[in-house]
Amino acid sequence: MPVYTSACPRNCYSTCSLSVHVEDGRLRRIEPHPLNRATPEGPCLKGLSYVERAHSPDRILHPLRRTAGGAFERVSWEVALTEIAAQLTRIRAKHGPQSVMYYAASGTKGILNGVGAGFWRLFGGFTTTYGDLCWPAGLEATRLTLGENKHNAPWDLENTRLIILWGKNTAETNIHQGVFVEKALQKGAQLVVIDPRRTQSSERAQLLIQPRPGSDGAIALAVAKLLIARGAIDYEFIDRHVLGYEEFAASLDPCSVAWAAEIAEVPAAQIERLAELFATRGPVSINAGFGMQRYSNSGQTMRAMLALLAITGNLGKPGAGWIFADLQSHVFDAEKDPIASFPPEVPDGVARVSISTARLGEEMLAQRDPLLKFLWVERGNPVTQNPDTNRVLEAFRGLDFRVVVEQFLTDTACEADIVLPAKSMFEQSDVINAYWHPYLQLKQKVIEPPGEVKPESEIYWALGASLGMSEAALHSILPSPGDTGVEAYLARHLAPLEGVTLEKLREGPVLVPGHDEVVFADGVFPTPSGKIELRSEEAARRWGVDVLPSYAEPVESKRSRPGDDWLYFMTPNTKNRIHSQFNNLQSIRAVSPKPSLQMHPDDAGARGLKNGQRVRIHNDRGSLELPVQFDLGIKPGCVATTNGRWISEGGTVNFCSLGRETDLGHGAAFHENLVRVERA
Amino acid sequence: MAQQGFQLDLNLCTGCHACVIACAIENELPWVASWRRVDTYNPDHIPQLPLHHLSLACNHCAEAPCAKHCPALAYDRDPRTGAVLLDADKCIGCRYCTWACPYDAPHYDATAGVVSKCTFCNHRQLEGLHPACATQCPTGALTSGDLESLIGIADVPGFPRTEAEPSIRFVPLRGEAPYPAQAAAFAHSVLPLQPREIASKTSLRSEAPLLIFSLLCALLVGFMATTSGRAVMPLPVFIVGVAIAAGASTMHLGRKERAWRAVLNWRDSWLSREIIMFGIFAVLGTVSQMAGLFLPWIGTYVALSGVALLFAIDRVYGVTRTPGLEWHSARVLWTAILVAGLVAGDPRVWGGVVLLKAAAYLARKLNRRRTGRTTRPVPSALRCCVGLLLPTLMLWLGGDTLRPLAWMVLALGETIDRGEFYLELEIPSPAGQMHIDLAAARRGPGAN
Repeated sequence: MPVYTSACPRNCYSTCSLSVHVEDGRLRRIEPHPLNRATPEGPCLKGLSYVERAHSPDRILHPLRRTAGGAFERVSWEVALTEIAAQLTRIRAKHGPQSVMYYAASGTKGILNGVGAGFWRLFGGFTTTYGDLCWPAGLEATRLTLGENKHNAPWDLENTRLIILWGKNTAETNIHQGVFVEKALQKGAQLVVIDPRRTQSSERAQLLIQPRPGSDGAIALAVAKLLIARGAIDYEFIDRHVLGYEEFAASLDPCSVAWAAEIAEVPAAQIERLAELFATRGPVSINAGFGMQRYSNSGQTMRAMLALLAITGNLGKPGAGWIFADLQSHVFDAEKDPIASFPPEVPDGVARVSISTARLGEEMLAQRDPLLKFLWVERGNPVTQNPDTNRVLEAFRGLDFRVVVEQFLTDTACEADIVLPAKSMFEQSDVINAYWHPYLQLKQKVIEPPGEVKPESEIYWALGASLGMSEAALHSILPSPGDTGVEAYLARHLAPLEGVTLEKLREGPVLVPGHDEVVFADGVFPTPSGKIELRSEEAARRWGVDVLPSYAEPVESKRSRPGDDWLYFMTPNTKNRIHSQFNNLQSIRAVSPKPSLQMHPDDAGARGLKNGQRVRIHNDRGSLELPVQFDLGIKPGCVATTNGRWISEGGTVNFCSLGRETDLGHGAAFHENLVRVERA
Repeated sequence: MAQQGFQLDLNLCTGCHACVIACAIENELPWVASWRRVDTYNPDHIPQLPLHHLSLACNHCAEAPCAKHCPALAYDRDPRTGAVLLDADKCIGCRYCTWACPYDAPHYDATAGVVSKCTFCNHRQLEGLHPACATQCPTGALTSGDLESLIGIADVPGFPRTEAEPSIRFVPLRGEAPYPAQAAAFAHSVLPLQPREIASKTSLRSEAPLLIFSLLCALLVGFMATTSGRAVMPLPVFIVGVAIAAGASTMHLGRKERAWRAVLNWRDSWLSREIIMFGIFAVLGTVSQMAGLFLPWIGTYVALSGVALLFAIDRVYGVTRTPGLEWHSARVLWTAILVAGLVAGDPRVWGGVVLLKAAAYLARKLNRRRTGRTTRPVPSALRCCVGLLLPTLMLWLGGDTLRPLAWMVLALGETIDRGEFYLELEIPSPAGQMHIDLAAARRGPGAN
């Protein structure tokens, strides 16, 4: 049975290497690939489930067109492309090319994703989004503070003596990191978890601090003040590498333990314990999650957390550091995130980058000169995944024409006039990077696309022909159709990288040339001052925040919005999905718990709710219904349900979220939601 | 290769279910019917008690209860790996092994009419590979190897403790109960959580054929055990009774055409012995009814075989380890003595059995209430008042005229009792054991 090296291209830390066993044109099984030091034990349940996903009877295998009755009918590629081309031509002539919106999200990784924007430029212009749903507040806080987003290799965590999982549930979102956490614990490290929920990742922790959502910055500042007061800081490191220490230390005057304990609603002793661990156990690594930086104050929160590492000298050493995102393998980007996702300072007249991803629905509706008329969506499911689902639906439904490229009939695909069948990761080769380990990998083609499925690059080629674009023009941005064209395209992109070839990538993952296993060991921080910037002029200038890390109450919190019956609505990720992917598979459903709302019995009691009772979760944006599941480990005042469920499964959590940006980086502050919960 | 075993490190297992899916893929099982499952201890996050997961399939026990109790000798062990294997071509679909296994490893496949269970990926092991579940565990928590070389213990909360000598070792959680600070903060709010219902493996619908079989056996034996009973039971009635009982017990099988295999394991399985004794009783009873006048000694043998049959029936259910089964009021042997006493018209016998049954029934109900199990007050009242008290009064005071009616209500009472017996069978499982151990931990020192 042939076995191929491949890699999982999902928006996930682990980005596992895979050994794909193929039998008679079908995936038989997916086994661990031993050559990836970050994921040697093999993929998670989702990786295994590709055996079902690739051949799922629910895959879209042919172009679909909406009929007058609202159902979808199968049409030929020719019919679909002719109709799309006619609509595009009419709309471009009447409203201008920028009335066409191109929306792409993080459904799959790969260099070939870049061809989309290139095509729409060739079309004459388009409108698109800036910012990102995922991680910009943390990326920008890191960039402003350290100058660059990179971190020590995953396996270096073994050397850590104090591991802080701050808002990160490794066991569900980065299961392979748990192996390194366990190795460190076996060597005597201590584990601190900071999360309003008792999670699988906190089961092995010596200390679990459960703050009010959005209040983490206050804890970080209070710990900094304690460390400075005790002299438990690294003066030499500060002298050489830190800008703004004195000012920062002086600004902490009001940040007492009592102050932070009151804001975060945690016992003061826990904050003191955290400071004591910080002072007595090094090296320390802070592993900051993505969820906690989706609040309106989270950029500043992340800067405060970074400051703890800076003043204690926990950067540039084995076992120490800030584990947020390692973009060392992002070598194909002309500019790296978060800068790459910012709107251009001077528009080029072709691409109108005018819609904040965080406020997608609202800002699509607000576009003028020209109005938006046409939407092209690929690699994304914005209906369930972007904030404020009801506004997104309103914006989509107000357009003249919608095209969605998809593998399955998601809630977004269901809004389309034409759905085009998308390839799976096994049907076209591509080179992918990662953001937790420094490997480049080949996501290899191992089977032919089923039915009439075409990879996006070939869809654009065919659409370009329908629009009358010349082959030479298409050649300038697209690989020519077929496997050899793709391989030539990939080889061209790999050429500048010493020692990285397609042949090598077929054998296994390749560490990106020039990467560091221990980052910043040379003491070079590419900030304006060349130092770690606790004081950041750019932060103040670009984002209007305090020049120093500071605490501000989130816009939407129980303190800023009176009313006793509000609950913090937490919408974390589950191990069983990547956002809205995978939960339509029978293999995943067979092991998934029934959707429920985790709620502390105290909060349920106060509302007269019984365990298992169906409730309505609502606010002024919308509502969804779920049964209550009592949980004694969640902080009272918070309720939680995992995000990513389809509307057909009972409703997306984004019915209740608001399009709101984070303080830094044009991120989406869509974890910041207050809801009421009552009997349905 | 020596006996192979699984090893599960509870510190590393996150309950991710990759093993469950890997098993289904490797063995081409329906997604909902993987041989491996994951149960979670303390899923409600009771403070100061740890949470852990048990990923379990078959433990390929040295003293495998499935193999020991299988009436059809469908189980075997591969001496090369120690894998306990079920031959689907020999399985009769009686489901007895699903009662005998305390780890919930064998599962009945209603479509195929046979039981299916983990093969230890014997096909992989013989090629030098590990089982799929152990190969695919993304944290390395689940591994496999020579049982002797595996470190760890076999006793962790939620893992049924038996004498089966399971081929699995657990690396227990390190350290004490986690984060007392969290517990202190929330200690005030620990409510008595509703126990999560554990799905029963038995239901009246699934066990109805056994209910008919066992009650009919008690009735037939009760008649045939006394001279007067044999005298009043005509041969056709006896044969019809035997045929219905035999039919009911066969109905219960997934593969009826293989019913003959049920007698093969007479050395070890009470189920085989039950079937054999049923056959002997049926033959002796028939001969006795046809030719009893010429064989005056046969009545004794009919009675003895009948008692042996009922003894075997009662022993069959011992495999479930249901507490209090020995003194259960619905024991068929007692029912038969009751019938015999009534047939013989001996109030000392039937009166004694009625008192014994009433006492055992009440004791059982009180015990169920004490241990927080359902008591079903309506059937209980029916069983006691209509099923025991009323017929006793009718027989005592009404004499012959009310006798047929008294027998009918008595039969109703016995049916209720026997029906409840099937509902109350407790078959050990990891899910059930987790429940028991969690309740004990909450009562114990250090728990709230």
